[in-house]
Amino acid sequence: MLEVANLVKRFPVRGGVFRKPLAWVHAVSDVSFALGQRESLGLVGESGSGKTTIGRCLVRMEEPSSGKIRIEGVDLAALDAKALKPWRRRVQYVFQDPYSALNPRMKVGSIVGEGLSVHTSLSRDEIRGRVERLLVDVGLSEEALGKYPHEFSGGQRQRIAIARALILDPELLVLDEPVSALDVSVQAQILNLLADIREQRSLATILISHNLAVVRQVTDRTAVLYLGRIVEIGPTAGVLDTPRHPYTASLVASVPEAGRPVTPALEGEIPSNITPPPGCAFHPRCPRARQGVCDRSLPELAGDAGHQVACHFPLG
Amino acid sequence: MKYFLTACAFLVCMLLPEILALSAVELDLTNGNAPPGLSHPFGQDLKGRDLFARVIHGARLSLMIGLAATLVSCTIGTFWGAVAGFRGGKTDAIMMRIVDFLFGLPFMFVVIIVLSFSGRSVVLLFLVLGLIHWLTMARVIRAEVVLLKHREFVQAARATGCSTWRILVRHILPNISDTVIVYMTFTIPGVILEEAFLSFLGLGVPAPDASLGTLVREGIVTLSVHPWQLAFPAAFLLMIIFSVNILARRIQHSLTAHSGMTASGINH
Repeated sequence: MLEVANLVKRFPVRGGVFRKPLAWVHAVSDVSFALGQRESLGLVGESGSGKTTIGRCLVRMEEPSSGKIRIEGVDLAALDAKALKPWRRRVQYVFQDPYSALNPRMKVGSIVGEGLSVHTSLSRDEIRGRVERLLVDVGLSEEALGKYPHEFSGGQRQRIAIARALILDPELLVLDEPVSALDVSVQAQILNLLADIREQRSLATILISHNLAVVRQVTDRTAVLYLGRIVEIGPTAGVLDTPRHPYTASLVASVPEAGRPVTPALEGEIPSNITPPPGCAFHPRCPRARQGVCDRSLPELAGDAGHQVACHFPLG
Repeated sequence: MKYFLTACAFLVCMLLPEILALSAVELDLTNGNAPPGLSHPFGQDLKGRDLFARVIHGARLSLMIGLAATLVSCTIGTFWGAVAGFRGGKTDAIMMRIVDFLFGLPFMFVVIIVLSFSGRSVVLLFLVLGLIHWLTMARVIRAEVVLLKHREFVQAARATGCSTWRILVRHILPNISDTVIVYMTFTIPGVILEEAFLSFLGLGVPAPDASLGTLVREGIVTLSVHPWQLAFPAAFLLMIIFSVNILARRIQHSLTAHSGMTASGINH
């Protein structure tokens, strides 16, 4: 349904009188993956790994520097604004922070219904009816329609944001850390809502998260990102239970568990993505790195089609 | 209730001349320079015109010029700043360099030259005054729009497929309306003062109309003999500027209290 091929996003670092690019931040480097109908993919990684940038490229909030984003064979990355418009309704985005994602000066009815007034010629009453039904579907009352966002709690706001994303019946929903700004008790409710939505609608989802528990609960497959590249991709259970990349292993090990002292997962910081390390970007922090190999050549994703890893010396 | 007094004063200035059928131009040469009395509470000027009527008329004219020039400046400034801030990049750079350039000009000097050469009219006066103030407005609005543009609800609107125009009108402008209103009310007294200054120099509204600035100028001439001819218009001018300033501050406070957003920190 969705096919991303060799996606690259670089941001210029500008300076000087003429604001010429002095350097480039390599946010996403050569990322490829595919997503089937109704499938759910998790994008996991530290901050700076490029997971959010990938999501933003999918809805063209960022312009990809190169690469293809294909839906039904049409490359969205190549379309201009006008040609893109009909495709926009098929890919929708839910933001991390439900507080800044909703216009404080618009009523919930207009926020949720805006997609319909932009993309369809439905009458106001018809839009109102649809918005009402959807608000009930996401667990709010119909009266929410006439209220302003500040009258709602964080969890309710996220429900509103999800309703806004769903009103156009998208085929792909990009969820950018949809619960990380919420209280733990509310997180579960929103995750259940997302599970319900996936069950009821034919909808593929991409979940961007650093929370492995959330990824495990919501996704079918998981891609682990490090410094803008996919280092491991496969079925969620396989990737998280038997990680093959040392980085994935350290991520899994760093999840705190009751009755076990937390092992410091990794030494050092994520390197600068202006000047990424040569060879495998992970080698300066990798316990298995060997000189002469890992700092020289870039490992490619390899393995059977189900579970691939980009490492010279994979685990297991 | 908060704004009741200001509103009353404003209405008095606007309507009183009509209700009382006060004439600010009727001459009474035999009673020139008469002191305040029962029939003429503020006294009479050199030509025997009723100073009370002149002051009320002048206050009305000053307020009207203040409002009109502020509207001109805020319309241009909001549009200019919003477009520059929202488009960003080269458009932004060019538009804001134009603002910087105009800021560099000694504006009062330019205004004086324009008014001296082109003949005086009320319309020209408020156009010219409006053209000074839009510069600051454009800067303030641009800064707000640049901040808003990166807020997630604006990006969400873009990702939904909203047109640029729709985003500006539905998402950006409603969120800067506080700033626009506060800045507008702060601009009014500034404009009134500048109009008074121009009138004081003899470049203000053409005779037989007189703004408060014109009256102050006439009063200065006879200050040592008939001090009330200066005192009344000057006191009115002061009160108008003070009260509009206080009003502006009130509005600023209540808006920031309501929305919980930060004050724009505009000071005059």
